[in-house]
Amino acid sequence: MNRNTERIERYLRGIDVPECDSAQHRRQLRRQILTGIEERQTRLTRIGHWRYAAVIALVGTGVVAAAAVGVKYRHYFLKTESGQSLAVSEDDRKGWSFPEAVAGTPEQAVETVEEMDLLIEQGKRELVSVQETEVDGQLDNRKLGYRYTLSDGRTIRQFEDDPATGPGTLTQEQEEEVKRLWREVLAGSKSIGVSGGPQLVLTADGAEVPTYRQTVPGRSVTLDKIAVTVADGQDLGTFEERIQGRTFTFMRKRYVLNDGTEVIWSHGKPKE
Amino acid sequence: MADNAVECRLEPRIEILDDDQVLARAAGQDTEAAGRLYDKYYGRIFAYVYHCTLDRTAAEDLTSCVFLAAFTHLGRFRWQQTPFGAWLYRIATNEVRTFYRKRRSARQVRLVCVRDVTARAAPSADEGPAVTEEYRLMHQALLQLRPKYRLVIILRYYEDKTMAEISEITGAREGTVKSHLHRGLLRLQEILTQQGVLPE
Repeated sequence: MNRNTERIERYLRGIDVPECDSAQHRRQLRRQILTGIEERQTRLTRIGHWRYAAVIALVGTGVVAAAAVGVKYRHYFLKTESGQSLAVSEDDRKGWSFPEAVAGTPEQAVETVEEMDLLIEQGKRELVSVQETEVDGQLDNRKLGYRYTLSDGRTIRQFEDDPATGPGTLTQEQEEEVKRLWREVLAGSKSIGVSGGPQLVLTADGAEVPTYRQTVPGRSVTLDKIAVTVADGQDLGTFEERIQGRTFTFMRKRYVLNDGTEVIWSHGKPKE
Repeated sequence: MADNAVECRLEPRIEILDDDQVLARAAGQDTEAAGRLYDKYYGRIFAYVYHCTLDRTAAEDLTSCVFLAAFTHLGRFRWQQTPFGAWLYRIATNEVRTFYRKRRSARQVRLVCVRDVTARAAPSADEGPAVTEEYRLMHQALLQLRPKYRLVIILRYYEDKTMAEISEITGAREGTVKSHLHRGLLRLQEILTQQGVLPE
């Protein structure tokens, strides 16, 4: 410490610096940034898959397959540098991502998604689950769980963000806390899907939840499944809501995160 | 399985390492990586900008500019040998400098037109976090310093940055940073002494 500035340095170090944050701005900006990245990705994919299609035409490998009769849009199979397999429709309306193990051959992957798209067009996919997250009193994210029953008897269950809500604004840290509250062991959820490893998921109380094996396009793979046990939140009871022509019964729980954010998590199943 | 269990099918993914360089490389395509980077740095950048402006609205606007610029130009970052955090602070510092310039120009216009020489008042309770009188006085004194002195003092004493880090953020050599810090501290001491905050 310099003698000339000793007093001011000591004074500066003794000042009580206020904690600064702006939770609402934090969430809004996060949503804006992540949405921007998703949109950019869509544009890049469009460029990328036409390049890829050109290569296919040149080498004649026949990677692109048109499978189901009546498919409105053909799909292209892409593989990213990070190893992710994608099937993208030629009009870029939709892209499906596959884990390495599930994708199968490019033809199988394309066949699968084209049949799934056909089911969407025909209105034959089934809404079987709805998950809603409210943050500080406002609906933040809704995930729609669809079941696709394919012609070969396979069923695929897929969660999609409701376009009306987008991907949600909870931060990673907050999401992890929500998950922890639901007694989901994070190490378990992060490790599943790593190819070659044992596929076991642990719940918070230590019980193993076995995953299940299923034959997907000619290959036996382990599908990722996790049991999430309801933790102690404030039980807000149940309510019914009609979504896409079907009545769902929602179980509703309220949690308060460490940073004071109030999260209400609702899980809806079809009322039978 | 228990009756109260809910089944969720999760998209498998390889765990992303919590390393800025890895995350920054993936963030252009991967919203999870981008989200992690954002969550890690939002608070720090917001606090830094707030300390520089003591204005919640301005801090929000500038923080938005910083992150939108950073995530739009991640490609540029990959070419630099700078830690991601330092890069963000550098963008923030540039935004703050621009903010100071604009505010100065605005004040000059007001001086001519309205003859209003009153410096911007301290924020009201609903404009930002509760601040101590000491902090507010210090900030008012800091505003009287030249921006280049003000910024190094905030980085050093509020953000706890080393000389090397400040050099990286401001783009000035370490020797220059030390010199700015020393001169800034002397001037700040003088101002606070004149105001009676520090004893003679």
